Amino acid sequence: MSDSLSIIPPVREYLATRIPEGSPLEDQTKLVSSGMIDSMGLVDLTTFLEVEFSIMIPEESFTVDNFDTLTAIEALVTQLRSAK
Amino acid sequence: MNFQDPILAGFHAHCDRDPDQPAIEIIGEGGSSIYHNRRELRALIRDTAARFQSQGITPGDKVLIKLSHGDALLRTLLGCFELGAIPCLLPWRFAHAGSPGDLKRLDLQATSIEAEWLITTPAIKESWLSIERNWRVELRTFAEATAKNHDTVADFKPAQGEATAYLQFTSGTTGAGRTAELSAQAIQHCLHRDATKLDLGTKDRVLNWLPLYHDLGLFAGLLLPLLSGARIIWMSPVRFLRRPAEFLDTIDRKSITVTFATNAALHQLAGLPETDTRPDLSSLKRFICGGEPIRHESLRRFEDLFKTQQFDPASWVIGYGMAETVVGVIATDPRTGQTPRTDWVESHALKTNNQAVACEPDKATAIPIVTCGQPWHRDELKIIDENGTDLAERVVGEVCLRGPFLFSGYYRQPEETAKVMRDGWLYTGDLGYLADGHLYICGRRKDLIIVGGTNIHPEEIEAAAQTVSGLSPGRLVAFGAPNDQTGTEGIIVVMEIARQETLSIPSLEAAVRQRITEQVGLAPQRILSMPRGWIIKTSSGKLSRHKCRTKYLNHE
Repeated sequence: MSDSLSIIPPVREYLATRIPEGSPLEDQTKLVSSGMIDSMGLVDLTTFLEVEFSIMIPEESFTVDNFDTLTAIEALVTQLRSAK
Repeated sequence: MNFQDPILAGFHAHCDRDPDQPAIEIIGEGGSSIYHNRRELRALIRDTAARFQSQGITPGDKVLIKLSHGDALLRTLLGCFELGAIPCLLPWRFAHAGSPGDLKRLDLQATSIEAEWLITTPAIKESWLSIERNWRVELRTFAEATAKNHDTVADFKPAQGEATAYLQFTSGTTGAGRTAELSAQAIQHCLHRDATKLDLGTKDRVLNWLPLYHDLGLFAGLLLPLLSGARIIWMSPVRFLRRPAEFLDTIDRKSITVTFATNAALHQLAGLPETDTRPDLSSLKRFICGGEPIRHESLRRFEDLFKTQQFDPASWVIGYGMAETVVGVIATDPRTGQTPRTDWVESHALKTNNQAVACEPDKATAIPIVTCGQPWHRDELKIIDENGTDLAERVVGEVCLRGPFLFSGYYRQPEETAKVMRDGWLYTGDLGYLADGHLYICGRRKDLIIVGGTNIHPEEIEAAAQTVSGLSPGRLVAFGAPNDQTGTEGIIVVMEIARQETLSIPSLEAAVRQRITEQVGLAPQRILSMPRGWIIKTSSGKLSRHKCRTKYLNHE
C-alpha cells in the first residue's frame, strides 16, 4: 500500500467534520492559510497525527507550509516516519 | 525597595546575595531543559548586552524582537533591558509567524514605532528581505546580533524613572495597532505591588507558559519572579496547548507554587480526560487567571475535576488589566485565604437597566459574574456614567483607573492617547460595577474582541475582509461572541449579500476567511451571509456592532 493511500484518507476523514460546512477538501486545498483550520484546530490536528501515525512532531515543524495541504501533511508524516 | 531602580535591579540584588540559587529552567522541545543559576543568567544577560552594544545597539534604541520561545528570546529581551535599549516583543502566532500577512504587519509595526533594530530568526530574515518594505530597519538574526564584533567597554544605561523601558503592542483599529510606552517606574510599581500581594519570595517556583508578548507572561511570569528571587520554570505556549496534561504533571513534579491561565486554558485543562488529571496539585499557592474575562463555570469545573488532587480554590487570583496598565491592576487578594467571590445578578436588570441586582444562584434568570478584586493601596478606581458622574455601587458604568501603574501614552500618537486619558484617568472602555468595593466586569463599551487573551479590534477584521473584491463597503460587520467549546470568544463576521454578487456565496465566504486569516493572523469562527438590511447602523450611518452582536446572539 502506498503512503498516499494510507495517510491522506484518514486525515481527510478527520478534517471533514472540522472545517466549515461545504468547504472543498482536495489534496491541494489550503487548510491553514485559508483559515479553514484555526490555531486550536491545528493543535488538535497535530495531536491526531501523532496518535494515528505514531510519530512525534517537533515544534520547529509548526510552519504553515507543513500543514497547509493534505499533500504537505502527507510529506511531513512520511518524513517523520522514516526519521524514526 | 526603590521604584527609581532599573527593572533588573531586584534580580541583581538577589544574585549578589546568593548567586548559586537556580534562576530559570527553560523547558525545550522534547522536554529537555536548560538550567541557569543566578550567576550564569547574569553573565548571559551582561554578555548579550555587551555583544549587542558591539553591534551598534545603543541605550534608547528601539529593538523589535520576533523570536519564539527559548534561550535566544530570553537573552535578547533581558540583554536589551540591561543595555538600556527599549525592547518590543512581537506576537508569535502559532503557525502564522513569517506568513506574508505577518510580515506585512511587522513592517507596519516597525514603521509605527520607528524601530532602529529587528532581531529575528534566519527564516524570517530571509522572508523579510524578499518582500517590499516601507521601513528601513537594521535587521539581525540572534546569531548575528550576538557575534563577537570588537571589544567595547560595556556602557549600559538601563532605563530608570520616567524613561521608557518597554514598548507594548496593543490592538488598534489599523493593522499597525497602537504601542503603549511603559516607563521603568510604572513597571517597578506593578512588580513591587504584585510581589507583596502575591507574597512571592525566594522559595517560590513559578511555572510560566504564557507567551512573553502577552503582558501577563512577561511581567507576572518572568520579571516578577526575577525581582522576587523566585525560580522560574518556563515552558513554551505551544507545548502547553499541545500537551496540557504535561503542564499539570510539571506542577506536581517540580512542586510549582505559582502559575497562570487564561479562561481558554482553564477550559482546556478542565476538558482533559480523567486519566490525565491525576497529578497532585497541593504545592500550588497561586493560580493567576487573566488576559480575558474569567468565567464562573470555568473555575468551578476546574475545581470539581481537581478537588481530589488537593487543589485549593483559595489559590485562585483573578486579575483585570490591559497594556495601558502594564499588567493586571485590579486583582483579588489571595492572602485573605478566600475563594474569589461570584456575584449572582438578575440578567434582565443588568441588560436593560444597567443595574446589578443581587439574586439567589438558583433563580432561572441569575447570571454569575466573578470578581476581579479591589485596587491596591492608593491605586484608584471609579465607575462613571456617560456624563462622567460617579456611580453608586451596583450600577453599571465605564471603568476608569488612575495611579502610578499607568502607561506614558501611545508612542507618537497623542490624539489616540487623548481618546483614553483625561485628567490622569484611563477610560478603559470596559463596563463594570462595584459591590462591597469589589470590581465586577460585565461588558465592553468598546467593540474589542478578545480571543484567548489576544485583543483584536473589529475594524481591523472588517478592513481585511473588505479587500475581497465583490464586497460592498459598509455591508459587513465583525464582532466577538462567546464560544462555549473553547471558553473564549470567537470572531463572527456577517456579510450582507446582494443578488448580483460576482462570486458565489461559498467562494465569497472562503475568500473572506482566507483574507482575514492572512492579515489578522486569526481565523474567524463563523462567517454568515445574510440578505440586505441585516446589519444595524446608527442614525449617522455608522455600524452598530453592539446591536448586530445582540441580534446575532438572539438568532434574529
